[in-house]
Amino acid sequence: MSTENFKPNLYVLARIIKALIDNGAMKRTNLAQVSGLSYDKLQKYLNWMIEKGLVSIDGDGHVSLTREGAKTYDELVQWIIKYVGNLRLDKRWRPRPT
Amino acid sequence: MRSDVAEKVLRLRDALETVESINNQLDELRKIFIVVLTVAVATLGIASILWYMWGTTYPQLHGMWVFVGLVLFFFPLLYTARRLGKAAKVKGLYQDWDDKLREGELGVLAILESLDWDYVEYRVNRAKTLYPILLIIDEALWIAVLLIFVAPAYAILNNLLFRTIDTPVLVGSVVLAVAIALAITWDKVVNKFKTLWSLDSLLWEIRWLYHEYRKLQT
Repeated sequence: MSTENFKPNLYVLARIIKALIDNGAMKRTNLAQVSGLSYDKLQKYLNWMIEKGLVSIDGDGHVSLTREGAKTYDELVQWIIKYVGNLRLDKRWRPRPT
Repeated sequence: MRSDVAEKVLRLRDALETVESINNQLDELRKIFIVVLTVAVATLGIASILWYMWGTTYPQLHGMWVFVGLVLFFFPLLYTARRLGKAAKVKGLYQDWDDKLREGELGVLAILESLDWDYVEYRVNRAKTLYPILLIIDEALWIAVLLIFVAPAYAILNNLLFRTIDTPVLVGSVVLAVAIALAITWDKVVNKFKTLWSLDSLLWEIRWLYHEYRKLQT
């Protein structure tokens, strides 16, 4: 199935990768449960991630993270630190929790 | 998660809530204008009808015009202040950000994904452009309230000292009311100008972050 027009939600993508980092390789049904996604939605993301070389699926159906996948998660975290952490917001905007 | 990232996200929320508060007040202005105009027309209409029907028969109806004057003066003041005060309170919006932030970096991504960037940019831009209107209305309300006290006091003082109450005296009382209003609200005015300045830089930061986020998505 082509994933050419598929635009992943970065939050969902990061959740899948994080689940694989925390739990190691796992079956798709387990991964769907851990990452809180429906099976169909997870499948769409996995197709896209396989195409990008972020995950691989072995003969037993276990999904595992590739080196590229782990690197992608690190890049996402680094991006957040670099861009969100460096937002130049005026002191008048107060970081008060609700 | 790094505390500076969480702090920036919470600062961003405060900024966006301020933007919503300003926009809500701006949205309220049209409604206020319509209500004030309707009340003014209705009051004048009813008073005129009463005057033409019974004005010559009951000369004491003269007093009605004082009441009409009070309504026309106080109703817009009180109604505008109340409606704007109510509209300024932003509730619920972005409140789930606290929960999302507990997820760490994932939560920041969830927040960024949940933002309607075009809408946010539009709202910040609108708040920045139209904020001076709110500033002017706020000052006008103060001036109107002060005129109640300043105009009679100034007129009495002029009458006592120079035995005159004419147009320059009335202009003088307005000028005095403006000066007192500015003196009382000076900190507030400065603060609002600073907010205006901050909104401008906020707009640029949001554009920059959105641009970088789009690049990350692709």
